[in-house]
Amino acid sequence: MSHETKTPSRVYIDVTNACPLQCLHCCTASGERRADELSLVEIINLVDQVQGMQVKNLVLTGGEPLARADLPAILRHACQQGLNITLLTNGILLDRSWAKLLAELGVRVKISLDGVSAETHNFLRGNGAFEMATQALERLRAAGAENLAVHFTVHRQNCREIARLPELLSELGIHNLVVGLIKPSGRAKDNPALLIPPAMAAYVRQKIEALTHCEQITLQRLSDKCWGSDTEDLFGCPATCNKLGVGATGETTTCTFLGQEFMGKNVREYPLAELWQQHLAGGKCFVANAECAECPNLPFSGGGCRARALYYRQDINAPDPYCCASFAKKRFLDQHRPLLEQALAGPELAFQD
Amino acid sequence: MNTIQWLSHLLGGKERFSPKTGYQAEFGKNGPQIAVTLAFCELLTANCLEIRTQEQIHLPKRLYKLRREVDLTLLTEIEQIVAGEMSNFCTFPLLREKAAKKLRRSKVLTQTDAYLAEQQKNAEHYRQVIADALEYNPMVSVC
Repeated sequence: MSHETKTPSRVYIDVTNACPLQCLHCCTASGERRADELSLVEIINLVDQVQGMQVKNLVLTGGEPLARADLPAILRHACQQGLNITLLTNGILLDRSWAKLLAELGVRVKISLDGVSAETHNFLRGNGAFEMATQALERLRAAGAENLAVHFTVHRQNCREIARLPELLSELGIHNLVVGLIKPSGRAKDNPALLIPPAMAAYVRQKIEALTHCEQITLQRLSDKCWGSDTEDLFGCPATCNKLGVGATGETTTCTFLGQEFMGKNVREYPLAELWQQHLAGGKCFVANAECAECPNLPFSGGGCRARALYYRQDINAPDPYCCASFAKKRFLDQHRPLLEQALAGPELAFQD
Repeated sequence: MNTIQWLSHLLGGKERFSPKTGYQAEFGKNGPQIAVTLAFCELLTANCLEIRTQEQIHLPKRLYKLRREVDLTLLTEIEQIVAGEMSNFCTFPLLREKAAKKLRRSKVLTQTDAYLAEQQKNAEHYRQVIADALEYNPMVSVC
């Protein structure tokens, strides 16, 4: 399949920049509503364009999307167009009427919970946020919403809580869990103490992967594949190839985490499909620099996250240090495979010598 | 069975109430050794350790040391105790003895360490950690 015939796997629309919270790690540094945000008519038109591009998945986010009073009209229209809708919300504003509507429309709702306790969640998001988020999940369940997920962003202060997530989800009656690592983007860049040091990326990912053994939850992974030269079956940063975002004021981006500097042209000036084709025609937005190109794993990894390369190396084409850490772990494990195989049979004996 | 009860059951101990910290688990006889082995396996398979091999007459002797870049604040309490005993190269038996002693001296497992119970189906969870490491695929990853 050539790039020209591809459509994005999903389109994100930031329906507003407004948010009642000021989360320390917010990747879009949301808070205030912008004066020139897309109108209802413009967003409805955008949804039609998304449908017209044969895109199946629409993600509505922000800011806090529920802060937008005309969101029900957007949701209803998107549903009528047959799109699979995902709503990313902090749950603060999600009252019974919202819960009823979302359940009726079959919207997939992902609520952010960044701690297993009020203490750790509210540390990032402010007092009362944990209680309101968990109440929102309860309301959604009570309303009969079926497609619910908790989104947990791992940062340096809540890393030790990863293993306790199954307990929390069981208490909440939620099965689906999405875990992401904090990105050096937006307000998180102003709070670098929250970032996971690259040397610990493999350790943290291991703790996350361990959750797959937990029967009471489903750990939902990224399903995106990078566009490789020889095969489609590669993992890579989807931002470089198959997702498209539209900001609250209409600028497009392939990755919110890259920040304002990398926002592209505006949907007010060009049709969405044309912007997508321009993006494709522009070739890869990531061209590995000399150091990254030397890596024998580049064809398999797709280069990792460009936002991290930009933050840690000040070069969008540099290696993503988390990607390097994952492959360093792989090299280490391969090097010591005989020891590990012996340990699998009996750790006590294997490490005794 | 709650996590504390489950944890103390796994580690051969018993549940105890402390007015200060609530319900906690005590280690049983081999509990500290099991907990240290698991923490060691977690650190080893996460590429947090350096391995040095010394040739001996019969068998190579392996020594382990914590990598300098490891950020201790991210580790669980048990892992921190184990890591604290690996600032220099040492053998696993010596590490286990010293860390287990320290762990036992800490008397109880705290709620934070209930992660052990959540993840393991039995007291040999370290085998799962190693099995996962042998199957490790860096391309299946979280963003």
